[in-house]
Amino acid sequence: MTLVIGGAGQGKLEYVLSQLHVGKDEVSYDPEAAKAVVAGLETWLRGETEPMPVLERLLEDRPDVVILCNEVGSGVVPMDREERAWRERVGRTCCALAERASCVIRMYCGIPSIIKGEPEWN
Amino acid sequence: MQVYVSGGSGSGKSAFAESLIVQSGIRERIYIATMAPFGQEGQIRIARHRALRAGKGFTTIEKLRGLAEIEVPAGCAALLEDLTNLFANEWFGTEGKPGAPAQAAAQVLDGLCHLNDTASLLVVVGNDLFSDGAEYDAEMMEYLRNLAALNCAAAAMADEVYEVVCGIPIRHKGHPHINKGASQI
Repeated sequence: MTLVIGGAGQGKLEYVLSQLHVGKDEVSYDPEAAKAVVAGLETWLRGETEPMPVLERLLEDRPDVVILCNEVGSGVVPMDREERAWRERVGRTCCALAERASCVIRMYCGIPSIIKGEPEWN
Repeated sequence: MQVYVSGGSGSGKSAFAESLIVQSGIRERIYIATMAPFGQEGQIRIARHRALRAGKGFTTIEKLRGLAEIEVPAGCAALLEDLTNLFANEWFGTEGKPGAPAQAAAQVLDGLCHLNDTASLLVVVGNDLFSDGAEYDAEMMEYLRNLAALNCAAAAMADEVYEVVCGIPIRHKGHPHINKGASQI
C-alpha cells in the first residue's frame, strides 16, 4: 500500500493518476468499495470512529491500493469537540497507515517527496 | 544538545520525541509536563501521554510556567512537552489575563536556556498551528504570531529540527539520529 498525504489542493490525485496511468473511474471515496485508488480518506473518517477494521480489510483485498488523505492537523485546535476528535482521528489513522505502507509520499505544491520506502510503481 | 520536534495534531510527534530520549542511551530521563489538566478531555490527553511514556523510565516534573526555576539532574535527557501550552501559561499567567507576549516568550526562552545548561539532551516539542488559513480574534492572532516566532526561536537554538508527519520524522536541520527523511522524487 502507498499512502499519499498533503494539504488540500496540493496535487495528490493528479500525481497518483499520472503515475498509475488510470482514470478517475479507478478512484473510490469509500474504502469499502476497493479500487486502485482510495481518495478523500479524511472525509470518510468524519463518519467512522473505528476506521481500522474497514481499512485492514481494504489492505487485504487490495494490497497494492494507493490511499490519499489530506493533512488536517496543522491549525488551531478547533473549539468544537467533534471537530477536535475528527482531526485527531485523521492524524492517528494516517500514523497507523504509514506504519503499514511500503511507501509514503507527501505532496507539496504539486511536488512529491518520498518520506518512506519506494513507490510501488517504479 | 537541543532538538526541536514539531508536527500537527495526531502526527506522532510525542512518540518520536520520546524515542529520541530513549535512543540517546542517557539513563536519567526527565519529562517536563506543561499542560494544565483542565476538563475531561485534558485528563484523557494526559492519560494517553502517560501510557505512551510508561516503562520508558521517565521521571515527570509538572511545571506550568517559569521553567528557569526548576533543576534537572546534570547530564540528563529532558523532554519538554510542549511549547504551545507553556507559552499560553506564561502569557495568561495565574490569573488568566494576558500579559505582554514578548515577556512571556522571553520567559520561555530563558527556561529553555536554563534547561539546556544542565541537560545533555533537551528535546522540545512544539505544535504546527499555522496552516488552517483561518482568521481569529485579535488576541488569538497575537498569540499565534508570537507562538510562531517562539517556535522559530526554539528551532534556531536547536541543533536538530524535525517535523513529524504521520509518524515519520522529516529532518529540517542538523545531523540525523536516523537515516530517514524526505527525498524528492
